[in-house]
Amino acid sequence: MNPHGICVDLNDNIFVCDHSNHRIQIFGPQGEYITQLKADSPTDIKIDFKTLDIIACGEESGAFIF
Amino acid sequence: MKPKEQELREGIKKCEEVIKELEINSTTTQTQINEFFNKIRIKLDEREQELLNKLDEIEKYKKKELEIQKDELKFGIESIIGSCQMIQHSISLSNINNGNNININHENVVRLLSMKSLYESRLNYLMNNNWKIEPECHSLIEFSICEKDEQSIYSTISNIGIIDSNEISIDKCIISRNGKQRIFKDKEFKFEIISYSKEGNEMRKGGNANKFNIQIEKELNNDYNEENEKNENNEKSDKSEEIERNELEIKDLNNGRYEVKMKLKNEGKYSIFVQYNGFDLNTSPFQIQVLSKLKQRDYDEIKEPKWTFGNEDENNDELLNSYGIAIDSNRNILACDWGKSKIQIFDSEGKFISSFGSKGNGNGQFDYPNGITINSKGNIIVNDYSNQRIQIFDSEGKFISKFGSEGNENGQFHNPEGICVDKNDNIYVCDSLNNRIQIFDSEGNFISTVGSEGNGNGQFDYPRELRLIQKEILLLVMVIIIEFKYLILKEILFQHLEQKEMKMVSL
Repeated sequence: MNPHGICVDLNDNIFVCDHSNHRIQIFGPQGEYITQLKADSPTDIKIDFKTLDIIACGEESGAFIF
Repeated sequence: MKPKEQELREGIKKCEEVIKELEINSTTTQTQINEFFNKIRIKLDEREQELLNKLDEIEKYKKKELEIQKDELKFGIESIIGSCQMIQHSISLSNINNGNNININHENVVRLLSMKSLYESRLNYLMNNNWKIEPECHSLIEFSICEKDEQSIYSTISNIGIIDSNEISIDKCIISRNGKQRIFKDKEFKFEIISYSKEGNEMRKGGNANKFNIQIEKELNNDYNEENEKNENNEKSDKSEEIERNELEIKDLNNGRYEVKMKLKNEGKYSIFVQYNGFDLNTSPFQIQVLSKLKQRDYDEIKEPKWTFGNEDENNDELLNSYGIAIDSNRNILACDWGKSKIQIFDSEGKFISSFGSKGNGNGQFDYPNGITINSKGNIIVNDYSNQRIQIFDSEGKFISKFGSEGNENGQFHNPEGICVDKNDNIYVCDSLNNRIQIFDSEGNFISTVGSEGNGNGQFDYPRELRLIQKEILLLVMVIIIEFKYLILKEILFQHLEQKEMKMVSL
């Protein structure tokens, strides 16, 4: 619910900040669900392509590095 | 000089041999063509005769019907004449003309009376019989062929057979490959060459594999930006050595197609030259991007964040309430803090480094900044939401320029949300309440706008975030988030901004 930031990895997997569900959802290139990561009200997400770290920020609660 | 002369003489000999063979082949081909067309002619003659026979049959049948009708009518006429004559004769027999007096032959009158009913019924029959006056058959007889059939026959005829030189044309050959396929180092990569002759026909026979030559050239220039970083190449090895190590095979599929298989040993950008007899094909070279297969991660294994930051203490300056983050070339994390209206900078492990900006509407001030991106020059581009503008800073956070104001004209915004740049540093902005994506050049000059309000193709309902996820020539892929669901817009042609495919996944 209320999705915000998105990003894609090297393989076009799509990361969506599912803000109101407090999670980051990960979908395949065709939109098929892969998995999800818990995060408090995530709003934006980026991938550090050197380390493949997933960096997300939250509306009220700082930021996360996965 | 002598051996050279000998060599040239051999060349002439070879040419003469080819000419002889060509003459033989030409004669054979001529015979083949004659035979084939004779077969068709026989077929055509057969059909023609069949139709003529049918025509004859119909004519005869119709004629026969009409002759029978004619005969019936003739019979009728004869009957009428005969009956009339008979009655007249009978009457004349009963009246004996004797000078001025008419004497009645009583004997004949009695006979005449006895015949009366017979004559009456006969006359009645002749008068009232339903004679077939109108011809029972009409004269029409026709040959018809539907217009479509006729056209298709003509087009079939004019396309019968192909005479082909079987000489490969470098201008017409096609390189067939899956442009979306990701190519990984040490993994086989395949494409096909579809050979076309000078006459423009796709060739059905092989035999030219040894005349094709593939050259692999590595591109060494590496322009840096955030999105390109994922394809960055760290190894720079000696070019010639590298080509030797790459595996390459050209396989004749014997149907006019040639399969090229290669394995590249390093990641990076490559130009693939496809040549025939030493000349590049029309579509050669093409570029491929070889990726490291190591850059994969199993997302299922991630349970907890490695680090969290910006959440320690409410009074701390490092507290972060953010709607947008970006990573710069030093792998620092830049986050726009909407609560404090500033940009905060952390290192790659989340340690606070510095910040810039303050609340306000002056240059370098923000009101609810909620989107940030970094272009190839390292400039920081911030989406200044409530000020309805975009601000551009240098990599140190020094104000460079701004663009946009509130409104719905080109270059104006109504709550700009998502922001990103392409490899030419053009800036894409989700103009959320105007339901459109606006595109600007790297300095903020308006280029174009995409979309309108609605749910149809190419329409948006509050576009919030976008990314360009694949960059080929003129080909962009955008992911656009809208409230409560997200759309994947694939293959938007940048020049025409024509939407090709759209997929929606509900959240």
